[in-house]
Amino acid sequence: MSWFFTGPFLYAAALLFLAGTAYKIISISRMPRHLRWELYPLPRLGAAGSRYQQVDHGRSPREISRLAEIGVMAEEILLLKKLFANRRDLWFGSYLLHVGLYFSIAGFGLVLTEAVLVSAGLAAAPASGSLAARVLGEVVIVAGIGGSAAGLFGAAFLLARRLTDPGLRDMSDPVTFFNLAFLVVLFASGLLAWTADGPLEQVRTHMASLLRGRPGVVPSTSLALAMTLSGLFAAYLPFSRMFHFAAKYFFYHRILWDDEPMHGGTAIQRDFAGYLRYPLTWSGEHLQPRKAWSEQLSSRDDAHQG
Amino acid sequence: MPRVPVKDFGSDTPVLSPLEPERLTQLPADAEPRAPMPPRDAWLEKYDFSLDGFSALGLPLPKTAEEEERIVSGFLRGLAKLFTRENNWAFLLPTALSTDYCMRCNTCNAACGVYEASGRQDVYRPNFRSELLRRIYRRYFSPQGKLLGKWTGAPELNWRVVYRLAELAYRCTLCRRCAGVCPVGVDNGLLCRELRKLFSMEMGIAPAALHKSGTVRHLATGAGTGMKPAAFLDNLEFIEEIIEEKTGKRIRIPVDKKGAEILLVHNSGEYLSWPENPAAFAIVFDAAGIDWTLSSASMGYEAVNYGLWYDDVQYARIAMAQVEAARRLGVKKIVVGECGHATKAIVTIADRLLSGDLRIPRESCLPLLEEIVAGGRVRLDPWRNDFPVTLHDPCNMVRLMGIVSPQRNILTRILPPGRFREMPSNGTENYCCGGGSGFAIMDAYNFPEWRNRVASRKKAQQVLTAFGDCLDPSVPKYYCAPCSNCKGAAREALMDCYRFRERYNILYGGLVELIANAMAELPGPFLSWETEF
Repeated sequence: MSWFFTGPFLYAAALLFLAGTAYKIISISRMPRHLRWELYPLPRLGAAGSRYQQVDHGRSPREISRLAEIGVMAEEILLLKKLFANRRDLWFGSYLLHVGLYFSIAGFGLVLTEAVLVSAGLAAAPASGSLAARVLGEVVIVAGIGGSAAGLFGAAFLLARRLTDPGLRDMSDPVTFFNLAFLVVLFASGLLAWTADGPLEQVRTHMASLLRGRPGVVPSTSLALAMTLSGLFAAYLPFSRMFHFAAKYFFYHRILWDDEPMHGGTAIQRDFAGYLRYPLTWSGEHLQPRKAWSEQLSSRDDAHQG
Repeated sequence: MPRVPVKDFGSDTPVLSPLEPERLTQLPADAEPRAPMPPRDAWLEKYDFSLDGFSALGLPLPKTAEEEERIVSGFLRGLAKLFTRENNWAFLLPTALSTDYCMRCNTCNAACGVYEASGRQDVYRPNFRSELLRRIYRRYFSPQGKLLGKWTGAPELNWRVVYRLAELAYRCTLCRRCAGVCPVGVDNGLLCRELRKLFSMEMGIAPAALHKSGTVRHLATGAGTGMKPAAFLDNLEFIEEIIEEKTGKRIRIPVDKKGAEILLVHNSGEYLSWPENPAAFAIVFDAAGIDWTLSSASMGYEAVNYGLWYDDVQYARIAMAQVEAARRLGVKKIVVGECGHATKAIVTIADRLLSGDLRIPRESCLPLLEEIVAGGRVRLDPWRNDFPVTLHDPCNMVRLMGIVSPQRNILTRILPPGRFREMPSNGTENYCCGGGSGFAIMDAYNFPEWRNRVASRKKAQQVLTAFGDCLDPSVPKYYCAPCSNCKGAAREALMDCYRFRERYNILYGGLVELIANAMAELPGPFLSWETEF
């Protein structure tokens, strides 16, 4: 049973994560362009923040500062600035949770990279005693353990706040509690696994066996549990609201910061011409059922009857 | 403090969350109006007041089980359509993302002027109605919901849930201040608008002021006020006479001037309620030598677009007809007067609907006024405006279009040093006037009682804070709100309800009036605290 969950199940989980992530991103990307709905100031427009402060704004060249935009994104991703500014009481827990996730993912990525390099004969195994391998080994341990500890504290803090703060509790649905509880258990299992496999040797060995396509049995039960839970989390992530880490890109770049104006002969114009051909099926009396949007918009006389 | 969990939203309690006046945020004792009037008995017999004891919609109570069932099935039908490409391509992406990715951190709550002013009553949380929408959608339209049933946290769907949700969609001003603080980017204002859209486009539920005597009348007569072209021309004649009285100069307001550089379009309510505003534009533009015109064509002299607040088709019908009127006149660009929602509606939201010869440049009047003032195109004497002035930032032009500095640059040039004072929370962090999203014109049933005491309360506090050092009525003060709807809210709430004029001698008006008042060439002041224009 343990072999199944730390072997075939992890392959399936990885596949689900990749397929789920691809599916979600493609689904969102394929949604129709919407009518503009920005929120100002737009960071990439620099200090001015908006083109609409100028007379004849359409004639002025659009000066874009990607650097300013990246700066705002970095503050948000690395520091959770909006939460810090507007919900300080939750920031500490949330920040620890996010740092925990970043570190854990980094630790996983390093172990994976290390296993790939060792398997390919491009790097020495951590046990070889080489300085680079030892340093990498220590970084992985710090990232993994530090990540689990920070994540556990952060998730537990947020769960406790949610259970004790009436406002948060009332607005939380069962899935919210489930997600936080899941994170608590996940990070706790990571710490527990560390007590059984301090130098993470078993993790490395198992990772290498997974990469070879011949997963072995994980000797430590606590490590097997942590791996199983990590697999479950990865498979669940793209289908949960925790996928906001990817959705956020679309929130900002496709909605709140999207001031791309319409120009003749562009993809925007072609797309909108297509949308106006969609038949709408709303039932309001002021609308003409099943007629295309373009027909609705030219039917002012019918609208008078509404 | 009584709590209202989301799952209990459909309970059969007569009023789910009665507004508790004693919980409203504090104002100075002399500024506090009387408690809101309860709904009349005759209304209670016929209409639904079960959300908070107020009604914006006047929804008739269902009399039979079939009627109740029709309400629920209509809502579910509309909810399904809200997430389809064909019916909601215009806002599908923002709707889907804001539905799926809220983390329920409540960061939006403290940003909401309505929730804060109400004394933090649960139902007014900006994410409360969104959460209802999410849970109901998940329960009825997702595989997990079919599996989890009530464990989705959704209330049992009944007619009360639908009616209360419809009313709740009209307890948010769509100012989107909450979206600005959301760490993820979730937009509760948008979801509120989507709910309004569902109710209008599927169930025919919308406030009469926005639909029947709003967009429907607008499309039928050419203006939201119902003003027909002949009446519009009469009004202009009246304004020309008043200008002559005020300035001693007869200005001929240009109308239907083919090929003019600028078509200026005002909210038609200005001509009826605040004629001093179009008059001031005429005086300033005339003095600055601007090549401009008004249009007397149907749809050409009305800037408002109430469809923006509740119905995509009505919105698009109006926007396209307005630009078509400008196209027929052959103007070089459209400049929208001091009306926030109208500016946003036609400049940014309509942008991707307009192609071919409808791609006429469109912009706010504020940068143009700044250019006139800063460029020395009119001679100004700031000492003519020697009184304290504070500035309201209309959400639609400021947070939602980023127009922040032109109005401030103007004020620093037309006021003596030290006379301009910012409100707390200004610029893109401003609070709504309380009249946003149609509230300023929604006067049915006892809704104005709620609007004035809750939605406009934050603005009342801001104005009092800004003028905190000179509240004595011996000092005349000016609350500058460069937006027709914001002025409407000022008139109804700040002046009529809170009586700021009598108590503190605060006059309200637009920005261009202050420019005209500072014009050195005028024989006397344009503004008056004593007489109406």
